[in-house]
Order: sequence, then C-alpha cells, then structure tokens
Amino acid sequence: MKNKRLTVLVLLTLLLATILIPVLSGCNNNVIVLKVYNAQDYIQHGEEESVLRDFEKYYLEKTGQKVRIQYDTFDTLERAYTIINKREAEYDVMCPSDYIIEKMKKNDLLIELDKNKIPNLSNIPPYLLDRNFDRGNKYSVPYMWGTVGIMYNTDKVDEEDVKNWGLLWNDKYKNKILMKDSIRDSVFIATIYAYREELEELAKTATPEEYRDKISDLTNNITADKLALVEKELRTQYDILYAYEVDSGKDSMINGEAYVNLAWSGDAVWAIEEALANGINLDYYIPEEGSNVWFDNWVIPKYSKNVDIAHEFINFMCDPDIALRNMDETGYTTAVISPDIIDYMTDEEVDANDFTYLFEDNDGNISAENRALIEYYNDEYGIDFSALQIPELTMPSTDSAERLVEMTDFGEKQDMVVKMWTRVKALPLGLEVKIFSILLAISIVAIIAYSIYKKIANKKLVAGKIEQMGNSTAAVSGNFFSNISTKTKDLFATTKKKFTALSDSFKNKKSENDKIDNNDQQDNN
Amino acid sequence: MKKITIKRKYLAFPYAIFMLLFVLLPLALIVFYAFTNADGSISLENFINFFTDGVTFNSFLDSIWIAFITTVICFVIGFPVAYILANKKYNRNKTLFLLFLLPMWINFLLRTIATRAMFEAFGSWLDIEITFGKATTIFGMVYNFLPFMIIPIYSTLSSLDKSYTEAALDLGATPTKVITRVILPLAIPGIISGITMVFMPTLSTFVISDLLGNNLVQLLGNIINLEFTQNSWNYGSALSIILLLLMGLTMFIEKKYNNKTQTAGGRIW
Repeated sequence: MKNKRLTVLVLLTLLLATILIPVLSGCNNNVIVLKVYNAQDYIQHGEEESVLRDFEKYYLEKTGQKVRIQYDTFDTLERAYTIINKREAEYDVMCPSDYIIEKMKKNDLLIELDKNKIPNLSNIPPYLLDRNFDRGNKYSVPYMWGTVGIMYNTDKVDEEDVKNWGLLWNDKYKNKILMKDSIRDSVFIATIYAYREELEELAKTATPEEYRDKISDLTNNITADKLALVEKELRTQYDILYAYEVDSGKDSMINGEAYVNLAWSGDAVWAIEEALANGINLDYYIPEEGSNVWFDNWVIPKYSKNVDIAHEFINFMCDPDIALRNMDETGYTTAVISPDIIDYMTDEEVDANDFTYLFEDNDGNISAENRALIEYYNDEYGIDFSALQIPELTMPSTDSAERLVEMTDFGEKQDMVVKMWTRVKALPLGLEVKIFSILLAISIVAIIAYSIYKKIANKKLVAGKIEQMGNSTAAVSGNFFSNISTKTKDLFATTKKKFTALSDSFKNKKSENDKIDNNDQQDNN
Repeated sequence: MKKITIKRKYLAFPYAIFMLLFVLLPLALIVFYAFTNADGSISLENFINFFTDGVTFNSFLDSIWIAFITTVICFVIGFPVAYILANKKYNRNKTLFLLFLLPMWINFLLRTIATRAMFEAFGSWLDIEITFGKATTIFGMVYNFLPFMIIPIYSTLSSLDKSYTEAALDLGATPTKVITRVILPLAIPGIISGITMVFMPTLSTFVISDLLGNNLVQLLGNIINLEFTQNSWNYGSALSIILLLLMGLTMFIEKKYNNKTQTAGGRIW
C-alpha cells in the first residue's frame, strides 16, 4: 500500500513538473509571440531556411528582445475573414487579397500603418501602390501580386484557340477543361466572357483607361440582369467541364488529364516546371479581353497585440533579399524590385517587353524621382526597363497590363452570387429521381394516413363496444329486472371492494419482491 | 482505512458535461442561426428559401436518391457477404471477417483519394475515359460504407440458431424458401440497423462527392459546406436542421421497427 502511494506521488510531481517547467521558463525569458496569418505555402518556411526564423534572429540582434513567430495558415480568404471578424482572433500580421482588405477596411478591422516604420516601402514600384482597395496604402503593404489567365497544354490545344477566354468554353476540348471552384474568380471571368462582343467593340475606340473602367464596372457592379447572363454562360460551360477545382487542377494539368485550366499566375509557374518532368508542355497566357490583377498585401488586424513588431515584420518582408527568397520558394511574383530580383525574373528565351508601366502612377505619369531610379538601374546594372525579357507569367506585358482590373468586394450582393453559383451546379432532376421522389412522397403519405386510420378505427371499435355494453345493461335494468339489478349492483360493489383489497395486497407484495430483487442485484453489482 | 465510496451516477458527470458543451450547445447555436436572418432578427426566411429557391430542394431530393441507391447496392452486396461470413465453414477464426474490416482501418479521406487514383490508373491502363460524376460518387460511397452494412447483418446472422434452418429444411422447405421465409425475417433487426448506418452518413457527406465527382456533383452536404465557407451561416444552419430532422425520422422509424421485431422474436423464443 505504501509503495503504491509513493509511486502515485512521484508520478504526480513528474506530471506537475512537465506542465510547469515550460510555463515558468517561458516567463523568465520573456518571449513575445508574434502571430502571423497567411495562406498555405506562401512564404519560405522550411527546415533549413526560413525567413520567419531569420526575422526572429534579426529582431533579437536589433532590439535584444526575443520574439517567437506563431505561423498559422488559412485555406480560403473568406474563412480567414470570418475568423478575424467573428472570433476576433488576435493576429498581429495577416496577408489577405485586395477585395478582402477592402472589406476589412469597411468593417473597421484594420490598424492604420505608420509608414515611417516601413522604410523598405521604397523598394516597391508605384504600379503596385495606391490602388483602389487602399488609396495611399494607409492600411496595407504589397507582398505578392499576379494575374489570372489560362494555362493550357501546348501539344493538345491548337495555337489558333489561344487568344481569348473562349478557350474555356470551347467544346473542342470537352471534358478537358478545368474551372476554378472559387466563386469570386469564376464569376469575374464569366462576366468578361458574357460581354465579350461589347468589349470587342469598345476596344476599337476606347482609351485603355476607359476600357479598364468598363471591365471594372461589368465585373464589380453586379446586378441581377448581369448575373442571369453570367449564369447562362457558366451553365453552358458546366456541360463540357472536366472538373471544378481549387488546388487539384495543377495536378490534373501535370498528369495530362486536362488541357485547359483557369489559373493564377503563381500556380502556373509551379505547374509548368513540374509538368516538364512529366514530358508535358504547359504554357500560360492572359486573354486579350482583359483579366484580373490581384494583390496580396500585409495588413495589421485590429486585434493585434504587438503593433510595433508587426511593423518591423512587414518592413523585413520588403527587404529585397527576403523578398527574393520568398519568390524563389513560392513561385509567385514579389512586389519588391531590386537588381537581383529583375535578374532572377529574366528569361533569355522570351521576347523583350516594356515594363516601365511599373513606375507609372495612377494617372500614367512617371515622377522625376522614379525617372532617376530607372536611369540609375540602367547606368548601374544595365537593366533597361523598356526592354526586359520577363515572361508574361511572372509579370504582365504592357499590352496585358493595360487591360487588367482589380476585384472589389461584392458586399451585400454576395448572397445573390452564391445562390447563382448553386444554381449553376444543380443538375436538373433526372427522371429516375423524379419518379423516386413521387413514390417516396406517396408512400410517406400512405403510411401516415394508414396509421391515423388505424388509430381512429381502434378508438371507434373500443367506443362502440363500451356503448353497446352500456346500452344493454341499461335496457336490462330499466325494463324487467330493476330489483335484481339493484341487488346485482350491490353484489358488484362488494366484489369490487374485495377485489381491490386483494389486488392491493398483491401489489404490496410485488413491490416488496421488487425491492428484494433490486437489493440482490445491487449486491451482485 | 476508510473506504472511499463514489456514487455511481457521478461517473456519468464528465460525459454529461461533454454532452452539454459539445453536443447541446452547438445544437442550440445551430437552431439559433437557423431561425434568424443575416440581420439577426428572427425569421423563417431560411426555411422558406429551402423550398422556393428551386435549387436546394432539388439537391435535397438528389441526395436522398443517391443515398437510397447506395443503400440498395450496399444491401445487395452486403447481405450475401454477411451470410457467407456468418457461416462457420468459410469463416473459421473470423479471418475472412477481419479481411472485410481491414479497409476501415485506413482513414476515410485517404481511402477516397486512393479510389480516385485507382480510377485514374485503370483509365490509363485500359485506355478508357473515366468521367468523374454521379456514378463514381456512388461507387465511392458504396465502397466507403459497405462495412457498415455487413457488420450488423453479420452479427445478427452469426447469433442465429442453426437449428431453424435445419428444421425448415426437414419440413420440406426449398433452400430459397429457407432464406426468404426463415433467415431474412430473423435478420431484420440487423438489416434495419445496417440500412440506417449506410443511409444516414451518405445523406450528409460532401467529401466523397467533391473528390470523386470533381466538384460537379452538388448534394445537400456540398451546399451546406458552401454556405458556411461563404459566411452565410444562417442558411447553412437551416439546411443542417432539415438534415438533422430527416435523420431523426430515420432513427425513429428504425426504433419503432426494431421494437416490433423484438416482440415478434419474443414470441418465437
């Protein structure tokens, strides 16, 4: 017995120790936890090299303060938004897309940035700044950016079909087409496709700016009429699709299962590389009607506890070396520009293109400061922004960039769009399903009716019998044997008394027996 | 030493607390969301939408149909298998039974992904084009839920007294009659619980239809998933409640039926 107690004591102390030691040691070192919230596989964070670990080192050296990064990932932006909005999660830094930033701003979920604490912002070219969703970059700093386009199998898709969004609706490639199972992107593209003729007309006369405004108006100001048109197009497309996908599409393209895929530029980079190993040639293009340009920016959510360190983290992410490492790891195009990064992006096999648009501000002007910068690049590193060999996949060419538009939040119309999406995917009921449902309904009604009928019938039967009995006794007692009846009544009463007495004693006995039984059982237990 | 006595009912406390926190509370929240609209005021809007929006109700019928087909196929395959397994001649040491249980040891998601890979592999070997859709979804469901049909039928059949069949045969019944008149009626409790165990999960699943239907097949579970991920919890909750009611109904019927058969069995014994 004593031994047992001793072992219990030892075990308990061990348990307590294991719980307490980390807690206590944590207190002593005073480590601040910085919570970073980002999409999956969207930063360099491996066993050997990790920009997160490097930030911890950098911050320790700079301030002497130990910081540990808690890195959490989300799968969809909508879910991440819900977590911040409804659950008030205390994330310090987060990297959402443009339209989500707009939504967060609208709902007062962001902290205004102090740009003095982010000097590296100067590494980001003006094209990526001062965008619709966050004018003057009050709340956000660009991290990655890219386009939406079509990835296709160059061996299977005819060259003549590669020019516009029509490829996604081309029934020549029936059962080989992949569409995104992401409502925001698919609706955007389907809207442009639905208005392709109007846009083609407009392209002949309009300036790039007018054209962009038109696309933005079409895709972002959704109305019921527009949605009906879009639904029709998506419905036609449904019949020739191989799949709706979000992530699995890359694999389907690499395996050669599918030939055409609506793709994000960063995903395409990865897929094209992987497919080569399989002997499959993929390529990517931005359709001529125009497309979506998206920006993923760092923001500081309202519930952050470490706003200063969060600023420091964002600044660290804009460092050219760190940016290059992230780009190398993820395949996405970083927002930061440096000689090394331009070097990394350059592909000798690609035709030279003009990329000076990167330095244009919203009105299409290049400031004196940026002109000097362009010249500095040219003189110092031999980098000529008017003729760079960068593939469209990495950065859109000037022609494409002229027709790229941002997405905005659907706001209250979100519900309407989701409803439309479920209608697209709903197959019309097959004949077998219809017959089955009718039979099911009939059988359910029949069962209910039958059980009700049975109950009523039972009641009637019982009631009828009682009535019959009552009538007969009344008749008997009333007419002939009134004397006898009173006597029998008395007899009944006395026997009833005796009977109840008898049954009571039975009951008592029985309950006693039960008690004994119960006791027995309990003892057994 | 003093004997420490713990009243037996206290042992149920942890479970009661667990139930309260993780079953009743979430359920209450679902009910709350289902009967409110996006503004937070009480309304029946969500339930009216279910019948009138022209999509959800159809998907609901489709889900019931697919669950029905799956259950029928599972029964057609599962009953003979359970019958054979219950026969000691083939299933000595229960090895065969164990082999049928084996797939259940692998995670359900992995199994479904593997099924997909198998389809793709067969497609490329035999050079046929496999279109992922309703048919593959039903295949995946049958494959995943078949053990849930076999196990209950197997356990009722294996506890069945062999002398019934012998008596029936002695009295001149043909083998088919023995099955239809003796074994099948006696196996009904197992069959009913097998049916509910297959029907109910197939009704609500969305992972199988996503993976094996290429996101093209939209069942009620998929719609619920979509509504929740798109931040409209109210409609999603209402749909969950409808599904819950349907499952409750199935359970109710099962219980009623099982009680009946048990009293019938009582008379036989």
